[in-house]
Amino acid sequence: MIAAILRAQFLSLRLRAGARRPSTAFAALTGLIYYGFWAFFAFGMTMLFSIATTEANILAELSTALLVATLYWQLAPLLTASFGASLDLGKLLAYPIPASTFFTIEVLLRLTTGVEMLLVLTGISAGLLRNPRYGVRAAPDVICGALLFAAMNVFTSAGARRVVERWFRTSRWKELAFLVFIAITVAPQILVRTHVPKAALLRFAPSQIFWPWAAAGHLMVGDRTLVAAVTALVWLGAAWWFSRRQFFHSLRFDASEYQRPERERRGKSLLERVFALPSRFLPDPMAALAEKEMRMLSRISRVRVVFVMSCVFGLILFLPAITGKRHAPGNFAQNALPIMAVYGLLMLSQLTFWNCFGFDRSAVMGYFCWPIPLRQVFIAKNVTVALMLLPQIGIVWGISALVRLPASPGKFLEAVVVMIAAALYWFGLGNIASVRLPHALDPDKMNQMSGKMQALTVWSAPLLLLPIVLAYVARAVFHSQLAFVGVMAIALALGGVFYYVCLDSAVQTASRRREAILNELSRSEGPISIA
Amino acid sequence: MTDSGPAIVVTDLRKVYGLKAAVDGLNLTVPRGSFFGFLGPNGAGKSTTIRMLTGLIPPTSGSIELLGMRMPGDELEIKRRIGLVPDESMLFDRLTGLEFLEFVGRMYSLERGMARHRAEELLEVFELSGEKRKLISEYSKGMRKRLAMAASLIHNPELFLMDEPFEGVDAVGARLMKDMLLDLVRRGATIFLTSHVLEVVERLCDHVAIINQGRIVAEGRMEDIRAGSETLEDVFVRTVGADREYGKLEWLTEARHGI
Repeated sequence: MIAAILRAQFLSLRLRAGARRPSTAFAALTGLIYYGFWAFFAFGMTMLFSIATTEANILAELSTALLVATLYWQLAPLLTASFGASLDLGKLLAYPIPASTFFTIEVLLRLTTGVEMLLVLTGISAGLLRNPRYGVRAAPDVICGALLFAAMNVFTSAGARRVVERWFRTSRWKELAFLVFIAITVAPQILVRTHVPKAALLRFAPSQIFWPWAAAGHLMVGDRTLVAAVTALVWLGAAWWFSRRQFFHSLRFDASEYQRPERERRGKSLLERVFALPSRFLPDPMAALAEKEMRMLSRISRVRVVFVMSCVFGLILFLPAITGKRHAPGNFAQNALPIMAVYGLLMLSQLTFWNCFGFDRSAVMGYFCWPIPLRQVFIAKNVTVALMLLPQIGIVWGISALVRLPASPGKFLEAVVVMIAAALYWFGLGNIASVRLPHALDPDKMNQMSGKMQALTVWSAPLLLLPIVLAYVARAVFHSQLAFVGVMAIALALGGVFYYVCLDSAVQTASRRREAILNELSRSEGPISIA
Repeated sequence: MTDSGPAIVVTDLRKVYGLKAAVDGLNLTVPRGSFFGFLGPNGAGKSTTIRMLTGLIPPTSGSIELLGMRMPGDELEIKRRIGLVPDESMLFDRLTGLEFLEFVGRMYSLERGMARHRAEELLEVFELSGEKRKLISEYSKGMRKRLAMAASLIHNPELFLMDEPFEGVDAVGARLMKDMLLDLVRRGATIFLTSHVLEVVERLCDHVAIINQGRIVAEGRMEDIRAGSETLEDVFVRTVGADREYGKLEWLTEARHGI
């Protein structure tokens, strides 16, 4: 049965993968580079743990490494709002398949989100085996500890995924809760900066054996083996119980029970006035298209979550680097606002301009049937994203002012200009990508960006941002704001030309490929949903 | 463009996918003001034909004229004058029924106020007023079809292209839609629809064409197509599938133990 499900999945992916070989090869190359990086990092771990040093040092380093691996394994999917492959239970529940079989496949699929950490774990294990203190004779302990560690994380990840997915579909406060999750990632830094006594921190330090990663670490180096093994097994049992319970809870879950009753809107609410804004400065049908787009995107939880993340994530990521030097803000701090604004735009990319018809799905045929030029559809969609970015910059600006980053009105204006410039290049290429690589997005699922999209994002970002970067280089080299303005003006002009040319190309491609676009956006996935 | 000629003229239309012709030399004339039923078994080429008529897919060869204008040359003007109810949903799930209709009205260049007014009226007529503030994702299949039909009417088109408009619609909703369509034809509109429900086609349509394996196998006025006391179903089965053999599924027809 498991083989049948996996075969169905393989067959459903086969045509998609072979459809456009150059872009598939490109995505494969990017994947190779990405995992190559992690393999290199794993090699670094091998070298680190090969060094003959005291057992106390090894234990401390090992516990810290395994703690970081655990955090990455569990939190990375949350932070990127994507959980990789999972069983599409809606398609499979009608068949007489034992629930335990589903659970087995689900757990195996969780390995797909932990490939990086499995590489790192392999590197660490190889390092311990090469270490003169342990050597090959320690292989049973090392392998056993590594397997237990991997199993704990796989089960925990499987359970966490189902919890978050259910809660994502029912909770009114998901945006706020995601902020809390993100804040957890900076908790260690906050603890250090708030001068919590070291002794208090050390009592709960990552190397204490009662922690699951530390128990696995102690097991791997053969220290207090019995206690470590029992502790690890208890944690493994808890993780298994958690994942199995959450999975079976999902089998009985019906999201429609949690649908909010319809609200009667009296008069013109604030949101309605915001939606009506495009009509004030754009003619129909562009205004109608922009209004429709704003309504739709604002009602998709996934977009709201990513929008909130785009407002704060950059700040959280860059805050330590920015606040490191207190006396004189360096270059990075001086330009933090434009950097975070562009980072926010990047976060919104996969749900908006890289795949602008994703949420429309089969309704996209309307754009080919209604008497409207396709050009206006693209422009309206781009304008909508641009309008979303203004409050985003405002929020980032406000938060930056609160934490005393350089955030003058001039900096705000600079961030807006940089955002517009970046948007011109990204929207241009995004419009082409939307008609060349369209794929349907399920608003209720938190899935991973397709490999091709990831490749496109990674490879295009340095190139497209080059004109903007050159403006900052000009400012730094010539110590002149005028140089910055001059180069930025050229970047904007070039961006306008680039956008116009790409728009033309996208419109022609969409007309030529309309049948393929409709087919791609109407395609349903195999028994395992990936993207 | 002329207002007196046929509503639809299709000449030698072909659509080839790989080695297979989904539509293979189709010739069709739909008179203006007629209620035209386009029938065929599954996979005969009905939906492919409608998609070519609406410009969703380009034909491999052949020509299409709608309301005296050629496709794709006068595409934009044609689209302004036709209403479409496709087989697949053309609805935006994250809009309410009212928002969607207003949006479609503005796509057809109606002013915002007028689009809203007509949207409200259409929702009333199609008995969707109670659901106008619900998201379309919460609509049942029948409600979605009714909404799609309402959207096809908002700009008062001359020609309607409908692919399985009654599929999934309950008897009450279907009756409502049929009465509306008959009224439209009486006022001079032309309706071109596909349906598997032959009784409905027989009751509503005054002209019919039957397509099989991409070609027209029968075409004409309803009374001419039915010879003598034959029903439309008799004609349909005779022309497309009477001699079809099916394998005997012994494992399915075996008597169960104890029965």
